Amino acid sequence: MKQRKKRFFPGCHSLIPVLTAVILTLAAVPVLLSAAHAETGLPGSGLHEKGAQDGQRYEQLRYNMVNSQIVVRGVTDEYTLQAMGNVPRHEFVRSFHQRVAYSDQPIPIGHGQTISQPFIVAYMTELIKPREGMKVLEIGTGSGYQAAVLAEITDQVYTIEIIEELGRWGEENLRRAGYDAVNVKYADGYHGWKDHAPFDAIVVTAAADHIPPPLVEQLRDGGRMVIPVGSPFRTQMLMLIEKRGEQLRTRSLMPVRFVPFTRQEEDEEDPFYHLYDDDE
Amino acid sequence: MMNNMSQLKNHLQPLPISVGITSMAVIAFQLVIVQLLSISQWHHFAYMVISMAMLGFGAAGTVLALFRQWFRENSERVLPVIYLLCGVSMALSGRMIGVFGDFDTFLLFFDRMQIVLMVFTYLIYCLPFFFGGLAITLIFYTEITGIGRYYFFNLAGSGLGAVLVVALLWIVPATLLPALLSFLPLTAAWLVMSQTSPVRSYVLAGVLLTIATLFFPARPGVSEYKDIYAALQLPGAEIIHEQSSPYGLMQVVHAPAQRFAPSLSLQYRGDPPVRNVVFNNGDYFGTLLGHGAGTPAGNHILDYTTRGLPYFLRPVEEVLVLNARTGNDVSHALHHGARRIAAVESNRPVNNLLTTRHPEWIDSIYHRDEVSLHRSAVRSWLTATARTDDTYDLIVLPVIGTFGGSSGIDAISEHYELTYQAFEIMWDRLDENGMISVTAWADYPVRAPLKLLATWRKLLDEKLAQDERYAHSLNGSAGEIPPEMEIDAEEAEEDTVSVSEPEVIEMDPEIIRDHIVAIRSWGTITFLVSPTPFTEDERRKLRSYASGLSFDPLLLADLERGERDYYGFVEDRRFFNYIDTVMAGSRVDFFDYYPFDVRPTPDNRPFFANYMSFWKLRELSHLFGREKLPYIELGYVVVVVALFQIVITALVLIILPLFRVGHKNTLRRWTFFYFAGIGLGFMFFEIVLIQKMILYLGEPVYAMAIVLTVLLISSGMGSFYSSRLEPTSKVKVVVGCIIVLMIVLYNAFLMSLLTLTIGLPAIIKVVFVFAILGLPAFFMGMMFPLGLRRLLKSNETQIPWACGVDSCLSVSATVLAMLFALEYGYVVVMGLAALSYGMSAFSVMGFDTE
Repeated sequence: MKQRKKRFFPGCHSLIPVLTAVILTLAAVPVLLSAAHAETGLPGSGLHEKGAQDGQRYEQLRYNMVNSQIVVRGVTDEYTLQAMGNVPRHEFVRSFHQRVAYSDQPIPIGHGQTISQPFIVAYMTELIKPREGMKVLEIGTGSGYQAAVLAEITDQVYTIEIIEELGRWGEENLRRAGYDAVNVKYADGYHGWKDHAPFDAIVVTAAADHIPPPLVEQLRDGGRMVIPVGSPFRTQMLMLIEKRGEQLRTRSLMPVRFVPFTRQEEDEEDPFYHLYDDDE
Repeated sequence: MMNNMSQLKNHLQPLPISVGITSMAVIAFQLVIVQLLSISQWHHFAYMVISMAMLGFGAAGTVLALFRQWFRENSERVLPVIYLLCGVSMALSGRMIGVFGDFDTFLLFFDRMQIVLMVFTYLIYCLPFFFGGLAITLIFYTEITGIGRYYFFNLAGSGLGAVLVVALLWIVPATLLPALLSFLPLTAAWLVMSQTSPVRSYVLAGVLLTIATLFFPARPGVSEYKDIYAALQLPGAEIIHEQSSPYGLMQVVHAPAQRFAPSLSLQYRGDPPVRNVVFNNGDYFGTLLGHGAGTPAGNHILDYTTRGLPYFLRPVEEVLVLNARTGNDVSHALHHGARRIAAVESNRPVNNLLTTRHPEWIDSIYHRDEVSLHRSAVRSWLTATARTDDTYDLIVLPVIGTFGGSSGIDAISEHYELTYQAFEIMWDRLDENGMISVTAWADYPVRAPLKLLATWRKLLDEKLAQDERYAHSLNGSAGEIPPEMEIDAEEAEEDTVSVSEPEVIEMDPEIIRDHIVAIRSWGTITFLVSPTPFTEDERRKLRSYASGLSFDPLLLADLERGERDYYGFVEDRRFFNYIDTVMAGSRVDFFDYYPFDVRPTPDNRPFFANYMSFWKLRELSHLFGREKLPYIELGYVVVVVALFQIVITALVLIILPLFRVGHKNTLRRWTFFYFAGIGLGFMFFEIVLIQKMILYLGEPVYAMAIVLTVLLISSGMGSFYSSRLEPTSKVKVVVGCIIVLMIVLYNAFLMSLLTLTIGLPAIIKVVFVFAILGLPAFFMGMMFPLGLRRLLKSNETQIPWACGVDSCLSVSATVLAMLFALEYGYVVVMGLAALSYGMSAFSVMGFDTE
């Protein structure tokens, strides 16, 4: 049979090139992985001598975060904005995620939990209208970030985490960042914290498919409870529960006015918007 | 001893058997990987990975085309090595996957490192397919004169592999199967190696390695975002029961903090029951509620949710619970004194658990005299029993969606129980005062409630149009239905695009409002539809029930202003506008306007949980931002991403060999069209047939295994028979035309034929399936070997490339078929199968001049 002189890979006489390609590809993966982990040129790269410089950079990042992610989406409460501007968010994420701590996104913190995107934290904080002296209960400590934001406003913050390992890490974060006044408990948040009830506000950051009756009972008359419905990696909306005597009312707060889930610019052209409008 | 072994090998016809057993292992491995990935991630990801991994077959054709001469000259030496590598890579796949950390689909669009892990996963799973494909294609190439026989072994082996894996999954944990299956290619290596081959010691090492992996199997790392992961994080949580089967990995979790209270009323003041929960492949399957009482007032816990509504409106004595799962709705019906309850559930392991192994876990409610459990898929059961006289006061469907939104992870699952045709059958099974009850979790942007209402409005438009009471209420028809608008079985098969056409029958909206009611809590909405209008007294009862639990009426004939969000305020007011538009407004414009696909779901496109359309992706990107799309409908986005990945990779694999073997001055395009048509056509046909047979046989797992086995073995027989035929143009064109004709006939009449015979005993139905699938598959199996034999005469160098084209297009077809089915329905996919084979037949003219 006529032999071809020209080879695609000159000098190829065996399977070696193919196998080499496979091995090289596999070998490249760790390199790529380590590259993905690299934090070059970004805050949090662990360069101690740059500590002060990093501090300034984080401050700048927080300032940008408040303005470009929170204020523009309609959060106006001064207490909330100030708290968001003060809390070092990068202290509440895993070390390898510090470079994205101030990004407009949720961040995984392990155990299937996340730290919500900054806007959601700000929005939830604004909804419960925290003020100095208010007693606030948080269900789901997680990283401790939400508790830290609340602690910037009031000294009476109580937080409960059901996953003990996660709770300990969250408490460490809080203490390291100087939020010593926050009370942390590792227990089933379903039962609330009866010893310190009633609460002026309750923030449930780890939502279940039901609203625990004990929490409703531990909410002070006129108090507010806020619950995110849906995981941060899905479409998230918020539920606000207001207690007026024995009556409880819920408000489904789609963050449509703030996050990109909006069609507002087209409302004027929405042929179905006013057809059956029963707005009072 | 050695001599005996050698004689045995010679007696066994080593080459064909090596092809058969390797094909068996590769197909079985594919199905096992789907199972394992469904456990660790979810089935969409399994679908994406397996499609990419299968391109290993295409890559094998490409490599062979590139190094054709070398492989041919060294085939005897290299073949056992390739089989060895196939076996070893199969056995080690589980160990290799987690080496650099576990990939998580939910983080794919957030964390770029996940892309690297995903590509690594592709590569690891690709290797067994690549080496398996390389060995088989090499044998096809070197033994081209006997291709009919070898292709028979290839297909028959694959067919048996599908059966083998179903059997194995019942008795062996899925984690052990890759290692177990790897013995097959290792056996193939032993069969084809020569006595003096130095490979022998390597094969022995491979066997030892595989045995080692059997003792230390790798357990897949479960995604942190799976339901079972969250359950196991609870203090004191433990798995108290586990069973692996073709239905998936069933696990029962006990945890002291695991409470059952889905969307419970805020007025409930007791402690919700703590119960064990069943998970299937790590996803929530059902809570083991049992009798469900024990609330402070002695009521059933579901009476504190919107699901309690039907029992407070009308007397309910006979109940049909569809997709009963762990029997919570059965327990609810028992609590309300129903005297006859039919429960339909297809998951065998769960049914066995609750009826035989641990009936006490649900307080033995399935053993109560009032309850009968039917072990079948819902739709098959409904169709098979359609002619009986049994009617029901209440038909309950499972809750749609999940708390917090499902993010579209169910988008490519078929829901034949939620199609327009399914509701038609249910409607006919209702007593005069009967009701169908469906509960949906709140979603945002709103999709599931709109699609359900759109389906029900179509149902009411068409059912009430035949009702004498409303003869005067038809739009513009003065009470008469023009013959061309009558509803018949044919229309039932059509895509519901027809709904958008202006001449569709529409009832007076006021009448529609009388037949549907709904209430809403903070988390769920329960809809009821009935052939009998809800009376004023019943509306009063509904209001009383709702206000007692702080729920709001959502749909009611005499709804008052401000009444429907008294307790639960909805900030996005368009929610109500959209609900009202679908109920009583202009659906025609609405379906066009709304950025999600909320058209009624027909049998032809039974993807109730898919709300995306390829053509609206741009609009959605504009509205919500491209980066947000995965957060809304991850499932659909994954399919689109898979399509792009596969098409690009397949193109590279097809084009690459052309640089090696030249692409000018040949009629290679005809070779491409011929083999591309075969690859596409076969997979399109197979995918549609699997769907139809699932509906027909009522057992998804077995239906898939039976269809694969029948199609592949019959094709193998066709291939074997083709050895007797000369690969002339005439033969190929005739065979191609027969296939096209059969597909067209099947597309038109198969469903009617299946509907007619669906009530027959199971064994007769299986024989029937063999008969109707075997014939077209027999002819389909001829096309590939006939084509290769023709190439042998005209252009032998193209043979490996042709095999690669066939493999690449087969794999691409699986994703293409899914997208076409989501968009246009299975009828169109079947049409594409006919077109593909038509393309092959047509290309013969050019192909044979080469």
